[in-house]
This record gives sequence, structure tokens and C-alpha cells, in this order.
Amino acid sequence: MTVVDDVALGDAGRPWWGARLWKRVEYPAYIIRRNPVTLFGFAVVVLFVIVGLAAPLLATHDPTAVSPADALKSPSREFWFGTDQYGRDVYSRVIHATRVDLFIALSSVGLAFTIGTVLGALAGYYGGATDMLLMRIVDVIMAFPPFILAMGTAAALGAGMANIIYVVALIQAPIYVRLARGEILSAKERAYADAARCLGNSGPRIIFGHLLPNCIPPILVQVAVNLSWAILNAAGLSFIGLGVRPPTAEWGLMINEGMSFMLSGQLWLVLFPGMAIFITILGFNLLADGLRDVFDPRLRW
Amino acid sequence: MRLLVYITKRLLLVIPTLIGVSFVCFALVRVLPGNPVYFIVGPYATEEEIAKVKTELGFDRPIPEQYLIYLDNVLHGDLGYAWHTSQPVADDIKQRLPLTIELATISLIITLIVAVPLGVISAVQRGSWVDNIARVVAVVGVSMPMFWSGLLLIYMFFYKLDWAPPPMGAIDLLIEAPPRVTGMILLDSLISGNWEAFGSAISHLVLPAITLALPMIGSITRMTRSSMAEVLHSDYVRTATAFGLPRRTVIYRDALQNALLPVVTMIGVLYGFALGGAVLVEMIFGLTGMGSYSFGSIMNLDYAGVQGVVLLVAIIFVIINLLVDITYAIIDPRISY
Repeated sequence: MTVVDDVALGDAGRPWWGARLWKRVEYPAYIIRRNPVTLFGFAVVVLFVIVGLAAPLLATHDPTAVSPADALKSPSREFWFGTDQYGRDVYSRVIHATRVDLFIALSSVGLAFTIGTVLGALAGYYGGATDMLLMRIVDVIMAFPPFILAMGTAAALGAGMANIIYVVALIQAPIYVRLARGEILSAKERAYADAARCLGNSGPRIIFGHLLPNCIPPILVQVAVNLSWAILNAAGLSFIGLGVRPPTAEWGLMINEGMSFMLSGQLWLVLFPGMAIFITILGFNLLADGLRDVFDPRLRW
Repeated sequence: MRLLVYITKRLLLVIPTLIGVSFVCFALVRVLPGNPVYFIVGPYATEEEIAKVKTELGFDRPIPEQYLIYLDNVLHGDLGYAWHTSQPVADDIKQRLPLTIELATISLIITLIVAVPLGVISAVQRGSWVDNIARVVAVVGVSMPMFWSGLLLIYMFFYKLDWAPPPMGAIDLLIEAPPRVTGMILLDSLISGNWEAFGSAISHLVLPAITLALPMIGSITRMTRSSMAEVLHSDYVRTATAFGLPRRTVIYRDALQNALLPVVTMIGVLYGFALGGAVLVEMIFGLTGMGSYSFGSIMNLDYAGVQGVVLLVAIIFVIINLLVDITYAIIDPRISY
């Protein structure tokens, strides 16, 4: 009924599904346009994704090609960000690392989000002994300082890209369990949940078809924040030698490799990969602030 | 009386958490693929040799039994042997823990000194230049990876300006370290009245502590600001103002107390963050604390050391969170449990 009204009143030119879609994005789009800072964050995140996807096109050199004659050259027209001790082009490595970090961030947060939200929703809806057990497990994981648990787990599993993803997902999943559980706990008391039950819907159908879609917005803010944490943790793990293996280019690893040359004046080895992390994280944080304004105006600041 | 009941309950809740924590650490050492047997026998061992070492280490027993043995060892202070330092892990940690605690505590103090006033002023004078600076600091602070900001600080203050000492150790090599009492170098120099050592230690710890504090300053400034802003809009603050109390009194006596409550709860989380960050910061600044110890263990594939650190840091973190919760219950009488 409301959809029909909207079409009749405001969006005459749009087909009904277009109007529906527009209703979904209208307010967020308005917020993003209205607030230049959020727009900047959004632009950085989009840029990050584009650079990640188009890395081979944007790079000027092969990121792993060794060329001793070009070792430790300062930034120039040929090597925009200079070269490292093996003569590899820092610019191309930073660009290719974007792809690595994008992949790690998306897969680890995706894993944590899916597992955490599903488990949290089930626990919140059904309650009982399973809920109790799950929450105690969550408590135990959260009893560790996150980076310390990541370090211990990565040390036990061994370094490597896949393990980094599992480790980062492990330290983030509890956040989603708690969030989704809390949201479902309040949503299941609402009238529409009763209505769905009275119509004879099955439990899972009520949870995933009716309740969870309404619980997603606050969780989305967390996703934006967690993507930035995922990059920080993955880069940090690689920095201490527990993450991505050389010669693959990864921002944290590049900083580690460039560290010893900093004090002989070759700052570019550290500066540019760090700058890439900084700008990316900044983008995600600003975007998360904007999303928070949309979904939870009480915390606006 | 209710408070006592709460404290008892909270204390009892620590027990299952600690059991869980110890089980996770046990699993990290024994069950996961990187288990020590293969490091001991090496890649070319025969099946028999592997089996023999497994029996020696008790790896052929059922997992629950292995767990109990592990627990028994831990409770007797046996965390295994670190071959890259040729010492028991527990001894290594005992030597290095104080410096890490010292570093984390100093950075937390810096954070509170800078961030709380900044957040309060920024909430009181919304839109002023202080407010704008606070907002930039908040978002920039949390966005800089520590292992990068630390290196930039070294480059700036040691390499370029030569104000800071070289990033090696917690005290100048030529200065005699104070006799070890607590193991915390600042405290020890104070105790022995050795001002030269004290000054040197301060100059060595300033940059690492700032590095560690930057992200925390970001999050606390932000938290103080939003919590203060919320309190300033509350009914009781309006009532107090309507009664004609001076604005200064309202802000700094009535509003501030309540606005700082959420900040207190954050202290536990921050401490955990500082302990985790110490790994990166110590490594960059050449400080021989737990962080650089775990890094050294990782580099030498000596995983008993790493897991010892993980267990101990987790226990410290649990205890700190316990203390924070109890403090919170004492200072905020509105909370009922």
C-alpha cells in the first residue's frame, strides 16, 4: 500500500521496484552528499576498491621484479615512490599491496560477519543452553587483548595469507555475535515478530526473513569500522613476520622491510606504504562516522 | 551489601573465563598444527622418532589429560623452555614483563592527561578551534598504524632533529642502570635516587609511550566529547543551570563526573590495546619487554615463548577488567546488578 502511494505521489517516472530501491538509498545518499567529510571517506573507500581491482593496470613496474642496478633510488619520474634495496618499484608494490589488503580485509570481515551474525541471531532467538555456551565462548575470546590473540593464533597456525584471514576473522566474530544477539533479543519482542509467528512461519524463517533484515543497519557501522581494524591487524601481523610472506607486497611487510633503511635516510620505503594504510583507514573511519549518523543519530558528534 | 554481592559474583565469573583462557592457550601450544614435536625432531625424522618424542612430551595421552598436565605446569610457573634464550619461558617473562607494564601504564597516563581535557573543552565549546583540533586529532589518531607513526617519530626526532636518543633500549648504554627492585626502570631509578638514570629512561620512553598513546588519545577524546555533550543536554544539567549555579560549577562539578563514567569503563579495553600494541612499539624502539620477546620468539620459530606471553597478557587483561568493573560499581551507585 505504501509503495503504491509513493509511486503515485512522488516517483511517477520510476517503476515500482525503482521507487523501492530509491527509498532504501535515498536517506543514506542524502547524508553522504550533505556531509563533505563522509563523502571524502566514501570516496577514499571507493578509490581503495578501484585501486585494488585495477592494480595491474595502475602499476608501472612488476612489483616483484628484482633489479640490483636500481636499488634504493629516491623518488623520481621513473620510480614515483623510489625503489627498495632489491631495486623493486615502491609505487607498484604499494598499488599491488592494495589488492592483497583489500582481499584480506573483505574476506576476514565477511567471514566474521557471516558466522558471527548467524550464530548471534540463532542464540538470541532461541536462548537456552546453547546461547549460554556460545556467550561463554565469546567471553573467553574477548578476554584476550585482540592483537595478542591474533599473534598467538597466527604463531600456532603458521604465517600465510589464508591463516591471517582466519585469525582476523576469529578476533572479530565475537563482536558480531554480541551485536546480532542483542538486536534479535529486542526485535523478537516486537509486534511484527509475533505476527510472523502467528502466521505459522518457522523459526529460521522468522529470524532470517523477518528479524535479521531489520537488525542489519547498526551492524553495518561495525562492518565499516572492522574493515579498518582488519587492515591494521593484517598489516601489523605481517609487520612482525606472522602474516603475508615475502616477496608478496603487503603494506605492513613493506614497512618492516624498509625499516632498517630509514635511518640511513631512505624514508620513502616506510613513508609510502604507511601513508597508504593511513589514508585507507582514515577513509573507513570517516565513512563509519557518516553511517553512524544515519543509523544512530544519538551518537552524532 | 549489594555491592559485596556484586563483587563476589564478578569474582566468581572470573574463574570460568580463566579456565577458558587457559584452554585456548593450551590449544595454541598443543593441538594446532605448529606443535612443538616437529620443531624438536626436525623435518627429516622418521615415524619412530616422532612417536618417541610424542611419548616423551605426553602427546599420545588423551587431550583432557594433556590439558590437566598443562594446567598443572602453568600453576607451578612452568611455561616451557625457550631455546632462543636458553632459559625457561617463565624466567624470560619475569625479566621483561615490568618494562611492558611500565610502557603501557605511561602511555595510558599520557592518554588520559591529553584526551580528557581535550574532549571536555571540545564538548563545552562546540565549533571552536579547540573542538576542530580535537575532532581531527580523534580521527587521525585512530587511523595511524602504530608501527608507522613510531617510525616517523624516530625519523623526525632522532634522525632529523637529534632530540631523542637512538631507539635502542630503555636507558643509555653508558649510564649505569639502577639496581633492580621492581624491574620498572623509572620506578627503580626513583627508588635508588639515581636522577641521571631517571632522566635517561624518561628520554628513552617518551617516544614509544607517545606512539602507543596516539590511537588511544583519538578514541578517548572522541568518547569524552560525545559523553560530555550528551550530559550537557540532560535535564539535571538544565535544572542546575536554571537554579542559577555558575556555568563553571555546572560543567566541572555536575556534568563532568557523569560524563567521565563511560571513560572509566574504557580503561580496561585501552589497557588491552596498549599491551597488544606494545609488541609493535617495543620492536621498533628496541625495548626489551614482552613485545620484543614475543617477536624474537616468532623470528626463531620458538613458539613456547609466544604462547607464554599470550597466556600471561590475557591473565593480566582479565584482572584489569575485573578491577575496572569493580571500580565502576563503586563509583556509580545507579548501576544495579
